[in-house]
Amino acid sequence: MTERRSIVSISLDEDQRRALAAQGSAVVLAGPGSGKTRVLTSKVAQILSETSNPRRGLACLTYNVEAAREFKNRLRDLGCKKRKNIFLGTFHSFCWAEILAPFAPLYPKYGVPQALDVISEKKLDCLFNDFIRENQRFACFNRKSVDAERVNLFKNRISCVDLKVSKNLLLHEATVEFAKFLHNRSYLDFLHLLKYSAVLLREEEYVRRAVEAKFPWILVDEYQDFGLVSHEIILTLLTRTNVKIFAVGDPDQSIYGFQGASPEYLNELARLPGVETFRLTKNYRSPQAIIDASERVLSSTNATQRSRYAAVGAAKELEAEFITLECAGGMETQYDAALDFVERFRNEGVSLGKIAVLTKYQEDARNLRRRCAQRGISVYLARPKFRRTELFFWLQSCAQWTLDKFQASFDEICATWTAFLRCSQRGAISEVELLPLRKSIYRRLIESARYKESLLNWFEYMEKAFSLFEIFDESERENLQKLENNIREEYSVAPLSSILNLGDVGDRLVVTTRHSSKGLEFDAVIMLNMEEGSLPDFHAKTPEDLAAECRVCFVSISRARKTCVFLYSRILNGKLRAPSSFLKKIIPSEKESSDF
Amino acid sequence: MENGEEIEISIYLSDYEDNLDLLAQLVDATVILDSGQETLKLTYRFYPDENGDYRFIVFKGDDETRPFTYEDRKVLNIKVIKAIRDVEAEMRSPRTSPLTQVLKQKYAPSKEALTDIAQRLDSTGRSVLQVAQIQSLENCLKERINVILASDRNGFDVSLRTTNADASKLLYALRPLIDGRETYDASLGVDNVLYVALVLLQLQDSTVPPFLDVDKYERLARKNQELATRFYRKTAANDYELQGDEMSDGYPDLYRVMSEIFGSNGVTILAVEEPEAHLHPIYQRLLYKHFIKDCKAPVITTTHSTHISAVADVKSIVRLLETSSGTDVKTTADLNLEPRELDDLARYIDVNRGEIYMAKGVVFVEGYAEEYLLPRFAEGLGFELDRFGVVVCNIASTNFKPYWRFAQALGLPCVAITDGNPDPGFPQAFLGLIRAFKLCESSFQDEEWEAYTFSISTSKQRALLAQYDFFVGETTLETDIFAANVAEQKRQTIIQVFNELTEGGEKQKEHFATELTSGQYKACLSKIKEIGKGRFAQRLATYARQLTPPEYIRQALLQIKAKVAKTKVEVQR
Repeated sequence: MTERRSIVSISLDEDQRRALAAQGSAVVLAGPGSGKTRVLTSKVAQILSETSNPRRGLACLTYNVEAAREFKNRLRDLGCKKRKNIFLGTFHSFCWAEILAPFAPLYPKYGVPQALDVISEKKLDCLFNDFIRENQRFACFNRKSVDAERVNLFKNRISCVDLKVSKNLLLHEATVEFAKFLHNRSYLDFLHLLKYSAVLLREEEYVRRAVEAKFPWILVDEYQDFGLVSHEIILTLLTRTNVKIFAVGDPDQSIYGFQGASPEYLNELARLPGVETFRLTKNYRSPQAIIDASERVLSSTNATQRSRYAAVGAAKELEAEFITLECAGGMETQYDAALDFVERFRNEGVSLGKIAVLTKYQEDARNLRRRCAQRGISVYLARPKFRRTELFFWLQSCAQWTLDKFQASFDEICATWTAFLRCSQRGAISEVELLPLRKSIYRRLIESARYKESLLNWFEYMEKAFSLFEIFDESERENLQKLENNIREEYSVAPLSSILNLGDVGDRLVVTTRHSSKGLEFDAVIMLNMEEGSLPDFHAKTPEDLAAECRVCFVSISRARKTCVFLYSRILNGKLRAPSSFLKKIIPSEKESSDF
Repeated sequence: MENGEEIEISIYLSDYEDNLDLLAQLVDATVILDSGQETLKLTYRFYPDENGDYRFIVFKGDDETRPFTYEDRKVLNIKVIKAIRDVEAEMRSPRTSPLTQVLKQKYAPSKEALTDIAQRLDSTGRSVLQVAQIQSLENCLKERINVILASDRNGFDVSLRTTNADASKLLYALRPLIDGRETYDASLGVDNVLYVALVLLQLQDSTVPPFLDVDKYERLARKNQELATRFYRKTAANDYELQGDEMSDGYPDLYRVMSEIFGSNGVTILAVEEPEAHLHPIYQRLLYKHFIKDCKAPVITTTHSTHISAVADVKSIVRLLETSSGTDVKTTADLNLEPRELDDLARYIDVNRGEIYMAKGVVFVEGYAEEYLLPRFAEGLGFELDRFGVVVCNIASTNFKPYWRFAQALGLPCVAITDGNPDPGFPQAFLGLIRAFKLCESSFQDEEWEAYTFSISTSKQRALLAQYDFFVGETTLETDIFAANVAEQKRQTIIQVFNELTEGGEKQKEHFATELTSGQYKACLSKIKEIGKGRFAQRLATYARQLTPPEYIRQALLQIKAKVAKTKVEVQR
């Protein structure tokens, strides 16, 4: 045990170690490339090694399933053993598994729908249309605007952060009515899931006791990406239980404002009494020039001291390169220019997977993909055609086991499957049923080996053999369908083994939107649409909106390890455009730089 | 089992929310009672599967798919101390002795220390045994053995020792002595108490142990250096010994940190079967009082001992009644009484040595007079109350209510007898009737309210109350007896009793006889009061078999006899 601990702390720098030593609740402000994931996994490992009480564990909550998966792998590598009451997963799944599923049935007075399904986006769209049909006076609103309003709809909140509430009373009314509409029909969507959890936690002492008993520590990754209700849940735990919170995030990287996220929630958490704040000041990803450039973009928002991050390690030695290019034509010329750069970098020896093109719109990403196909560049769309959910990872494990029994654990496959069944309408598995179930899973997997020459056939077999479409809820079914479509389109002749890298970047050019680039890292980043009015957007007029645009730019630049390319057009859609004002900050004029 | 019948037993646990270990482990067992209170529920089900084979499951909450596992048992355990135990044999066997178990679990002395002691014991033992006779015997034995078994005379080493000084067996050789005697020599069942004391030690919360080894100490120090140095001091044997106790400053912090690091050993319910076995009655009481007042573990005791039931908390009783359709379980846990009323009850039960718990039926009466006379009247009617297990409970002119509720909670058949006490101001109103009505009103049917308003005759009121097991006299017991025994011979018996007891002269005796004969019972009563009603009743009891009981008493006795005809009794706490 002592040995493991030393491994944990030796590989950490001074800042990271300080954050790790926090005895109570803590906020760790961690910029790009500062090793926040490492701090978080080390903290998990440290808590687990310091306490051997087998019943009281911890929860580590992430923004998405992939991050949770990443944590699981890292912890396994650190030698953390499986133990009861350790929760690694998304915030939503935590609320579902630890608050709503066990307690909503015990407290019927809160009217939580007894549905086992969280409805899918598509279904929610349909419901919204039904809602508008019934309430014509709200026809002027789309779901996006209602959702944006809905995320901030929470009564008796603890948080004092000013909310961006629309002054449009009709929109407000539409939002309230739509929430009622869903409630009356007993539909549970992700937003309601959080809200009911927050209410149960706030109102019922027993629920708080139970969460505290099982999870004396709750760690949160990417805190800046969470919205008001998640923040309320954390505040409730922090102020009304003895649960210790360890939150990691970077307010500067809060770019999911359209989903209700705000940098202010993390700042508020850091200011609370009893919460220690730590700042990681080193950047292991990029050379100083890139760090400074990205921070100069932010400095327009508040003039406080910047350049808080110092390049260290191998990254410090990298030579930064900034290239700006004015394109003669519209977007088409930007696409071509971008791909010219891609080819140039590839010829210089950079692998495709280390190059990213960041677009403003999803549509540009799609167009670029077509363009790449013409030029023979293979592309990875960072916004995948399906989500990599637990079910997907389970299918991967099954495939791996089918191909090589030493590469995957049958026990784990069975355990995950029974967990799936427990969450489904099918209900839980009693002890008596367990052995027959294992036998039947074994038989089905052995039989699936017949299809190992074709991923598509194997997938179809699995779908039938495990009745996947019957067992999973609607949103999972929808995703399963997307996965199947993706296999049909792109992997129709591929063998089973290709599922193992399905969705991996591989040696492919990454094309993604600026917003989806968060958390990724590339040698070279090529940014399109660097015109004034595109970035910052025309619509961003208030200081808050402008600050949000700065953060998007900051996130995009800080993805780069060496090279940043900025493309803009003088004429776009028939209108004369100027280069983005951000560019002046990113690349100071020749005169200024020679003064340097 | 036949007919596909099923057995289901559910237990409910409360007051656990502060034990976070228990809560973390068992939260899936939460159900909500009608009162809105969260409770943990565990259920055992014995049922036939589709093949008709019986199997059992133990599950949490209302969900059969959440099994109660060995992990759960670690936080919620039960230790049973059986009724007929051979304490001596159990204490001697290292496997079963609670002494060795406590030592190993809670103290775990280091191997080095034990080896050292063993060596010193061995060498001291040798030097002490330097007695010529013993050495001679030792040599003879050695020689003989080797002659029989070995090729040379040093093949086997034979020696005589007082103890086996093997380090690994040293702990097993420890024996508790009380007053310098081996425990089984001690009288009065002290060995039983010692055994129980050791078991209690074993169950005690060991979150903060009396000793820490180096590894554990260092883990504590890493987490909180200040607490470690304050509370644990290094011993010569390289262990760390606890300084201070629960009352020390900062102990709650130490407890919290220790339970964070190491967890706690959960809750163990102690079940003691008949602790009275082989124990002096006073020790029975003391032991039980200790269980209840000083022992933090939840304790369940089964007992037949009135010494124990007498000191048990009134609200902690569970009574098992054997009936023709199975065992009926009654509990006083929900008895809703004022603290003052509970005190009265507890005092009564203590003084009467908890007899009431062993009873099959109870007659509640107001005073000593009834207590003395009723058993004799019953004999006159041809049955003995004792044989029917009926106890006469004297409430000493206090309120009937707590006793009445208590008996009902226990499912004890009971009747109450009270004086009529006519109200001097209102010839038609009997205070006794009012008293009885007040007690019964909650169980009245609608039409019976009419009786309560006194719109029917008092005799009808009496009949109605009798249906609810309440028997109300005309005036007071004594005068009612006088009225029931006007026949010459019986009257003479009463006069004789008076004459035996009175300190007054012949004149006084004469007056009493005249007044009794002429029906001036009030005057008679006041003369009896001079003697003392209790004393009079006590003496009268000697002759009571020859007297006629007042009608309401006769009815009460027959009613209780009929009611207890069905039940058998066992008592638990």
